[in-house]
Amino acid sequence: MVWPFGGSKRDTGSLPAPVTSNEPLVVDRAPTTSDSTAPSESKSPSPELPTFLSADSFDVSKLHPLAGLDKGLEALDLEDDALSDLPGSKGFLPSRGWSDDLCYGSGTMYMGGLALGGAYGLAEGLRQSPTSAPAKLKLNSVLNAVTRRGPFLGNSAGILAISYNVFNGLFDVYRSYHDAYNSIGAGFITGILYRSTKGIKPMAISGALMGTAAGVWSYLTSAI
Amino acid sequence: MADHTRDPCPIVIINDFGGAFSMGVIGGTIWHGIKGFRNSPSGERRSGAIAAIRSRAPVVGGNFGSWGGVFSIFDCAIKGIRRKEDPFNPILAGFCTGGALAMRGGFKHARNSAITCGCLLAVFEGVGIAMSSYMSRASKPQLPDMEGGVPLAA
Repeated sequence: MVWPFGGSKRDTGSLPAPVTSNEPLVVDRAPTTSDSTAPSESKSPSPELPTFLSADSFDVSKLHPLAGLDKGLEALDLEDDALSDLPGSKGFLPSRGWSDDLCYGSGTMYMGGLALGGAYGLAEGLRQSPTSAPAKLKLNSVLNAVTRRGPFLGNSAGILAISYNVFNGLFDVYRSYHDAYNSIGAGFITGILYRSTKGIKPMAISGALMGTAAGVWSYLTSAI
Repeated sequence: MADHTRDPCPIVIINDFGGAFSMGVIGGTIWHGIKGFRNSPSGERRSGAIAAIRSRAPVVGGNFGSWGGVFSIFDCAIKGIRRKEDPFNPILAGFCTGGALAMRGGFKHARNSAITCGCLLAVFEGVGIAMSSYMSRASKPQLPDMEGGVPLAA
């Protein structure tokens, strides 16, 4: 599994990376530590200390191969038992269940919609202001268009994501199985609801579009 | 002391934003649905409710979501600056969020809003600390039976 900011997981013995620097990351100033000397090791050990305690002897390549020093941020990897137990649900995107799907899905869709709507508003604002206008007028027109388009698209995208994830989760629980049909069905119902005030034909078209998009998405993430 | 139930810092902003947005949308649907239902003439109630939901619920969702997202950004920033995790982080973050979101209304409005949000978060954190100490009073370590300063049973 690949997190955006993290490394890959799924080896059995990954240990946390040993601290090779002499300075601790967080200095503990609690009154219970009676040690008043500086907690860092001395750089040149006294001759009685064995040489492997000196900082120069740490050779990263000779350390345990499963120590995971070549991986990225391990803190972002999810524990194996926190993932969902539903058969077929361990897909490409790591997720601990429906609440993760709901929150991250609607968050990313809202931000994507905001970015897209903002870009469209930027283009529209620049297009609608006369070319000889001073910079302040152009900025004002751009801001107006961005504020009109961006949040509207973001809100709509976020609501669609919420509805899709809610129905997907309901289908998962109801069928006790996670496959592409859940996604497509959830997308279809979302599309129908989205255009439910406009009549049968727009509902059907929207449902088909959303179902196809959901199918493509679930194929891409191989969540089957 | 570190909170391991939440995801680590940069990515948790999306989680908080999406969660707050979802809460706002669902709450706004219920609230504006009932409001639109009640404020419409009979015979038009259902379509009045649906129209109110369609126009108002996304706005409520967006407001909640932006509050949650800005709060999470400030929380992560303060955690990164202080390099500590304690209850003061959310209180300061709430203060900054209240101020940031109200800044368009002028300094006084921003100041009042910041103080209000900070106090609100302080109340939340206080309740959270009280609850967790209440829950953990059963698992406090017990002193063994002692005699002359030495435990009786090994």
